[in-house]
Amino acid sequence: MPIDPQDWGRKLEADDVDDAELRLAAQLRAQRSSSPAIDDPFRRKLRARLTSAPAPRPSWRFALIGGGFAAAAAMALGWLLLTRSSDLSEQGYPAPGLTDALGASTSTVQPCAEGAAPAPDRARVATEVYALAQAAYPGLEDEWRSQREAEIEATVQAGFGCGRSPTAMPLPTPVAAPTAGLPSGLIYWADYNLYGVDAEGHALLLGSASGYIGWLSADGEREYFADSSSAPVILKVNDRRTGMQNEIAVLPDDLSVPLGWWPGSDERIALSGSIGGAGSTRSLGVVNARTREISRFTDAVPFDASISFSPDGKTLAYTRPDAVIIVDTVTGKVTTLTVAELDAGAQLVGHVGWSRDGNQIAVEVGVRGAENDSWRSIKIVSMDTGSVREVLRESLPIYRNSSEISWSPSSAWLAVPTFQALDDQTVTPIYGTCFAEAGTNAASWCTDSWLAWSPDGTQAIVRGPVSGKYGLVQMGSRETHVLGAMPSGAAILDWRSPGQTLLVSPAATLTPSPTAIPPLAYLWPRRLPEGYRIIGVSDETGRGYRISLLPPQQGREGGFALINDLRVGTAAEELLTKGNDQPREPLTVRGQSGWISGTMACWTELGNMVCLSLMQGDVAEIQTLADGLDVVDESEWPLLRQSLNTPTPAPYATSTQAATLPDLPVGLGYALAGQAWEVDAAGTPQPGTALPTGTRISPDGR
Amino acid sequence: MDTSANERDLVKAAQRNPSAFGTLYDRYVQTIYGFVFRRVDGDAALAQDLTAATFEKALRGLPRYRWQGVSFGAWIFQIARNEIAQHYRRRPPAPLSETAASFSSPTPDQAIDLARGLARLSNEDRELLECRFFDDLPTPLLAEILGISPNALYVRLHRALERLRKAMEVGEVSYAD
Repeated sequence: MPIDPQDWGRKLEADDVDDAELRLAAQLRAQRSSSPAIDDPFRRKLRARLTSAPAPRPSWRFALIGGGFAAAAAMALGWLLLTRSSDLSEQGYPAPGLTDALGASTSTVQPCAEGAAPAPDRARVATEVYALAQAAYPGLEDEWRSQREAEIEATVQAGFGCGRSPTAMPLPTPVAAPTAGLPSGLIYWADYNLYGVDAEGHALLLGSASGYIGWLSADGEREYFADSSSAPVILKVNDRRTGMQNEIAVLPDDLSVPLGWWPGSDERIALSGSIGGAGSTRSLGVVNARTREISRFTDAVPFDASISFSPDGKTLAYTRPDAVIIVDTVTGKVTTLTVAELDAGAQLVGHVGWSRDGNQIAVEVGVRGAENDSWRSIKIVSMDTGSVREVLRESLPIYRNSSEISWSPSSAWLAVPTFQALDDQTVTPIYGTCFAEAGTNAASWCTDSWLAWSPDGTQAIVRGPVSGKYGLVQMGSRETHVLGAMPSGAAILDWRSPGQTLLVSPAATLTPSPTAIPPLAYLWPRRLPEGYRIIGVSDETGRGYRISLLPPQQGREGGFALINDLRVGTAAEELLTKGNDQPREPLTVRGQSGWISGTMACWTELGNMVCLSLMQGDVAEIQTLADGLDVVDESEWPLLRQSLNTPTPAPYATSTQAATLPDLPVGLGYALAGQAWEVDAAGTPQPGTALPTGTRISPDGR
Repeated sequence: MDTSANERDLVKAAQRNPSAFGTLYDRYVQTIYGFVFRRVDGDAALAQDLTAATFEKALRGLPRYRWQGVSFGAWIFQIARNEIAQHYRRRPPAPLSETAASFSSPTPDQAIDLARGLARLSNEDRELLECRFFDDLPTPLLAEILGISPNALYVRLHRALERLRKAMEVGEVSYAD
């Protein structure tokens, strides 16, 4: 029987035994044994160890400049350059590639000892730096500023040292815009926002999903989110082409975890059961985002199995402790590779990873021995011949599985996490990555943690495991340079070739910082129906909104041009709001795709987006997103029809008024308040069949 | 364990100076230790190792930690869960016992019934009930750890209890619906 969660929860918290479940909850509470006390010497020892660790180092720096303070500025800049170029590789961690590229020098700003600096002076300095930084960087938001408090303070220290009071402040300037200098095509999440990097290295906001983690399809047209706040989980898909969000499936309990878009498909999403405890198994399945059909093809995958799909999506490999299981998802054929077949001396199978060309799998095998007596090996198995080759072998102080095996897009390289170096407490391993060349017997080499391959596989992004700094490694030469521009805590999703997804230059009015994009940018579909893309919506107070558009085809080859800014009056504000509030249903008008949302239907005519506000079968007003033409009532239709007869050679680039607005299009169908309507030959909406609640119109309008 | 501005200040202070991490450590170490202890069959040495690894990872990850709707408490519990999962990847635990040996109930029959019922539940249900009733994690914190709303948590708890009740009454539990 359904419960009211709030009411039931209140009773649970109050220990009110109102129903059988609450009585059982009380019984469980009564069973609770007292909490085991932690051993006091251990507790004190661990505390001492933790609180004497080196200071966490900041990831962003400010340079100090100022003519009258050259010495301080030189100190600060020297420190800045040293830290920017050295601390990708962590202390004590052997990173040959980085060491070669960056040199071995390190520099650390130690925190001022308590009481060493006159607190009021340091506080004043920090306050002044904040003010100057804010003036120099209008996009600086409170949270961003608070995150950088430590860096600013460290900069103050570097310039003036502990215990010294500056007599005046130099002007701080950000070393670089926080999002500049990233490789083009990089896709990442930060703060629940999805960003893409354009050809100029500027990160642009592509989408937002507060509270959810989403994934882009391979063609960049769709992203999905699993709404786990509901029970059961609801899977939602955003269509970036139309701006629609659809709930596509209520996931069954045993397939409630989306694993990602199915390889080779832009409409299928792989599903898994949630990971349970040891000894349990879970299911694997797939949901089709178009048909909403859910299929389950196995329920016997170990809870902690490594799973890898072939690039064509037809085959998957997963691990058991003693074998690799290869399943043909089309025929159901199962092939088992035992650990003994992979390496006669190995006892365990760790992870498995399918090569991007689909011809090979890499398998991790190893032995968990006594301390300093464990090893692991990475084998490559040819799917054509069945031959097995070893490309990496390493001894391990403590046996640990890798977290994944990643093949480069060219299938020439493998990235495998490693745990070779332990810190001085020999408790927590320092994570890094070993790269192995798949086609040769060349020695592998190790560096910081791998994050992403470049589209051509010649470069990889790595991150220092402690500093969080990002570096770009050239796979051939092993040279590395530091990328200083990723937001703290960002998660790299992908690195795509230009044209694979929406990557555009920022409008001149937009600061190339995600924090500076106006909030309304979140509200607007990213693409107009005919392929124009909205890349910025800025609030021009009192004058409406400026919408920056990018035409179709632009941006496909990596070259971007902003050709049109349309100013939208206040009437369009309502449209903006309505358009966001309600789900959009696809609509076809004279072969042009469009949408209907609530009382609004929109499509395009000769390059202008035309929207009709519909009220119970009557047309109340017409809005267009053309400059100077916000609201048109019926009396102006003849004028518009006249303008239709004057073709505009390049409507998008030069349009300053609506180029077209004919009679209501014959055959226009739409749904309103549970009622279907269709425009007859005279241009008058006629009531059609009543529609059941939840009816959705197919994209072709049929 | 609150997620107040005070704790946020503590996190910010620890991000600047590891010695300030001690206060956060003091606040959570006993709870984390108890949480781990119950999940490693009462192996105190192992619980100490995993507790140490949890806090060391938290300290190392602190510069990158941002207060984005997930409190420090929820974050460190997530680290502890990961450490436990990592451990069991290396060394699977013994099957769950259906005896009441690990319970401290004054009424042995009831304890045995509960132990049997819990052993028949899915791992997700069992963990949920253990976290809420044995570890006594407050609802808001547990909801944060699981990344769901408190209301969704209540729904899940209710369903898990319903399945536990059926498991105790009829000796089996169905996850078909």
